[in-house]
Amino acid sequence: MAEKIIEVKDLAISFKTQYGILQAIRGVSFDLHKGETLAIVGESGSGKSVTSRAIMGLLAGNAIYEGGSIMYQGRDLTQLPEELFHEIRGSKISMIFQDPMSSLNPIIPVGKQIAEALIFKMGMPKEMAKKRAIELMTLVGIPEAEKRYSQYPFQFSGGMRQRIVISIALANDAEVLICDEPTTALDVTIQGQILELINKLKEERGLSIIFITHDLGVVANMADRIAVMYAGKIVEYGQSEEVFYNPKHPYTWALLSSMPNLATSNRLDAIQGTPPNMIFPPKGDAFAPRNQYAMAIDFEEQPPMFKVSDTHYAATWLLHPDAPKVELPDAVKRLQELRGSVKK
Amino acid sequence: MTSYLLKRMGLMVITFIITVFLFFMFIKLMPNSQPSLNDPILEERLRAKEGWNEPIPIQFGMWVRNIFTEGSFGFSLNKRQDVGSYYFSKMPASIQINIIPYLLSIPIAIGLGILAALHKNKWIDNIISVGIMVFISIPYFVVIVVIQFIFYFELGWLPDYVVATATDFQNNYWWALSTYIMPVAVLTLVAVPGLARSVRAELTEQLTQDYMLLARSKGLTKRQATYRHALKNALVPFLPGIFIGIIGVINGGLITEKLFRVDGTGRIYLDAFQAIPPDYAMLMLITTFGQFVALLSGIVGDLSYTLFDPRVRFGSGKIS
Amino acid sequence: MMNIDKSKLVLVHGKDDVITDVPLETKEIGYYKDSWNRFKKNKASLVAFIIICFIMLFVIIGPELKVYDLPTRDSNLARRLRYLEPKIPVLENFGIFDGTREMKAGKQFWHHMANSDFGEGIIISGFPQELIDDVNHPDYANQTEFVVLVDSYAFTNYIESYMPVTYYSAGTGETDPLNPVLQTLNGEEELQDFLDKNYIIDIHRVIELTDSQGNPTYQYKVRVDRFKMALNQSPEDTYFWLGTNKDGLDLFTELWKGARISIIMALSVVVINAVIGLTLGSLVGYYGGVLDLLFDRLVEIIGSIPFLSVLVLLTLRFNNEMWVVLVAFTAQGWIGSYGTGRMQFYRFKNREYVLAARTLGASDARIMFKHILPNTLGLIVTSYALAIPAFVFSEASYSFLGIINYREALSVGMLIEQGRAAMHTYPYLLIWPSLYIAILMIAFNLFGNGLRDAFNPSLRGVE
Repeated sequence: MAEKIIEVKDLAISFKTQYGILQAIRGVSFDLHKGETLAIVGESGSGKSVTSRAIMGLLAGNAIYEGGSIMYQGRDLTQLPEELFHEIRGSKISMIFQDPMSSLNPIIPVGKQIAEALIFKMGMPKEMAKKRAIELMTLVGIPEAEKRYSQYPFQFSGGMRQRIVISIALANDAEVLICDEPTTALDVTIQGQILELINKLKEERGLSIIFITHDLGVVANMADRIAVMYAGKIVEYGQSEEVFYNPKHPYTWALLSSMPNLATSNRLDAIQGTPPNMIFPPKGDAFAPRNQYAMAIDFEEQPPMFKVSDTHYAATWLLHPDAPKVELPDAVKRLQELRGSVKK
Repeated sequence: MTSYLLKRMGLMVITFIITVFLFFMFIKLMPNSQPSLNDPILEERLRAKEGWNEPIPIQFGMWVRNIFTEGSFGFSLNKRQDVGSYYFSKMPASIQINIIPYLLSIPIAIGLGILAALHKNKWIDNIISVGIMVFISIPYFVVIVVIQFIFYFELGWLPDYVVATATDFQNNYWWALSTYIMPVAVLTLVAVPGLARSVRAELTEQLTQDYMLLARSKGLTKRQATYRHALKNALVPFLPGIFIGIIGVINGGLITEKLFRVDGTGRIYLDAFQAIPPDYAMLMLITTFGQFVALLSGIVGDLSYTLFDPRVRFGSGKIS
Repeated sequence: MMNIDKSKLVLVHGKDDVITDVPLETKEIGYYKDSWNRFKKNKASLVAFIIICFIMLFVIIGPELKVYDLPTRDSNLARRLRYLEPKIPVLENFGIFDGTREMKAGKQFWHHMANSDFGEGIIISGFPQELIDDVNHPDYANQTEFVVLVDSYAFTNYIESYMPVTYYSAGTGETDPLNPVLQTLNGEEELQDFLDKNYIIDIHRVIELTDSQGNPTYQYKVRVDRFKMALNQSPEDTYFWLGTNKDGLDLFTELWKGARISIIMALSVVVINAVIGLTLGSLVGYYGGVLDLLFDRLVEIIGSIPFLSVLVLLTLRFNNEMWVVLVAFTAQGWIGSYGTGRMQFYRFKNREYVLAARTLGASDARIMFKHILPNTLGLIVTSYALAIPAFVFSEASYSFLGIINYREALSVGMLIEQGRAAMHTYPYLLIWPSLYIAILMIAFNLFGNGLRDAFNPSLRGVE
């Protein structure tokens, strides 16, 4: 097993808002292994973005660390003061964001924004930084990089912009790349290109990637391991194959069921209801009110992580030895059949 | 871009010409725009030079011609001299009292705005914001008068509450210079809040933008990200305004000059209107000059927008 | 494994149960209620709002509070009551608003006053006892003038009724040094009338004249008690809360009269500008095309005329009526609302819901009013809340310069100008109007800001 690069243990983060304290993350634990892609999947408000921001130390001013740790290179990032953090950002851990248009500064030429990372972090002289930036631009697939170096973000298409953002993120040879929904704002056709690019770069540079998304389809392409988040907690955690073909948590089932499927003509199985208000976190399992397979105990006690295999865990009372057996939803069964047929 | 700019400038120039002509016409249509004078020789000369019996468009033509051939905008019946020479002789005094406060106020306002935005909602910001609110609300002439009252009449700290005249300067240079301290200080004071508020607002807005997040995640320190990104973006909208303001320094403020007894161009306008008969030649000059200054400002403003905001430069001319 | 109640390990739903959406726990709040909530949270704006209400109250009742029509009845007599210091009952006992002032005058003058009946109680402090007893006291041989603290009301009455300040410095000449205070009464009837009313202090001179028929008539030069003649009360019983100005007008009343006019004008101007501007803006924004191009040029030309010119030209031609000022401010003022209206219409006319409404057959007018305008409401309200102080500021500036000069009342700007002219001796004339306008403007701006933040939460944090 590859070594662990980042270990997150029992991380809990809340935010002070005018309506009360919002518990965004309530005890999240996961690891990132070297050279793998870990996907964090969940709805809006599940806490996935907060997790990634916490690793980067870029939480908003009203954030409160309630507990837990993020271990990286022997240091706990939650305790790291800001002055030391900026040494990690960019050169060790990098991040790319969802909307490339607003991520880039509209009035500074694109090349300069890439070179800036080199000049300020590595102390490269300007000329050299410019050359390197052009190299990077070519690397991520921007044609005529030399000419486009001095152009502005609005002169690029969405996909191109995202490539530029990627080149900025990798300018200083970071070893960990956090991708926060990088393709959500892009056309489907471009999505594929960007994902391909990310995979390619991962191979070439031996990156470790945390990939945050709500789109399971994207996950299938990219992830080695998956963590499913809901209401600030990880509900299922395991190898990609395990989570897709042997899911154990009702929320994972619901997610898999809600993917549009060309094969059947059934109604789309949207998950009813909305995520809970995390200012008043529910007692018990947060998913219970929307859970088709909820049990009485789900409304009272939060389920612990049950072990399914050495690499696969799920936090659902259904895994309790005394819990009733339930039938998997159709969509999940179909996936298993698919896998079976492929294997054959 | 160039064609767009030229088109806009062309339109501005046309508007300028139309406005000037309209004003000229309006004036000539006033009842006593060409009074009979006691001095027949003068009357004869003016009649010839300005074409008093001709139809208005021709008069306009002659007026324009006079500007370019003799540099004369007309003859002031009240002041008994060429309007141009009178008006422009008063300009230095106006510029003198306007320019230093304006130039001083810019860095001060920007500095305060930045301070307030960076320490948002902490006590520095609160003090600055309250100060801005107070001084932006109270009419500036009230501020000036009250300060004159407090510092000169009550406390007696100042040499005088008005500005020294040219003769004062000859008599006692340093004393005369010291009379400028309070006016400059007060005028700076009333000029600062407007810009400071805008800078604070804009910078606050920029600090919340996504590109700041990317800048931080690149590894830039908070300070680096703020100055290299947020600040640059925040100040760009104000640069054209600053350039326009510099041009605007030429216009003597009516109230300022009255309060500090500055012998500048401010008063001339009002005097021309309230004279009997109104000094139309002077009014014509003032209006034309004013429109011209506005035209210049417009052009400078447009140019600087193009220079500073690349979106304008390459786009269709709309600022996103 | 934790100890749990294993009996709870039962499924709650049946296989084919449909889970319904849980109704939202919070109540739905409409846009306006939400905005009101946000507004309430902003303490500064609330306070500002209360202050504005107070000011409005005074604007309505202020001018009526004091019954004082002397200036309209007899402006000359009123002028004799000029420059009285502010005096407020109750507060005067605490040493503030007690109507006192320091006056400078010659020692002979003071000496006379200190020793005369009529001058009793005027001097409060500052004139040495030695000089009261002996005006030529050697200790003060070198001093000719003294600054003395006096009751300004009694003092004014003294110098207007009994002896002018210039009495001892009048020099020798033809004119009677008492002339400024003397009242001329023609004939015995007038004399008797004044005697009955108790106005007369003493009779100074009697002049014998012959009338047209050769009969002797008498002209009496008398000294009258001005306060009694003007107000039928003594100086101690007279209270002008904020003092009087150079013409004897009550500052308190004039201030609120001026305030009243400026507020009425402000509201009128803002409303007219809004109506014209929004209507034109909506039409142009909605129909666009040639209309738009035309208006673009028109607006540019109209807008480029300096406001001062418009104002001065109009007042020169049509005199200083209120409607003239109104026209001046609205001639170019509608452009702002026009821009807003047009922009809003441009923005929304292609939105889906407008398309939908049109598909359903809604008429143009209906679309404009029912669909597009409500979206603009927030924008409108805030820009108008801030338009009012903008107008007050403009109007004050121009009346300060004397360009705007209402017949019916002294605008606040004028009051400030008068205060400025007199500030070295009568600072109260400057302080109170300045204080009023400062508070009004700050309150309005805070209020406007609060409104804007309440209606447009996205702008919060942006002043």
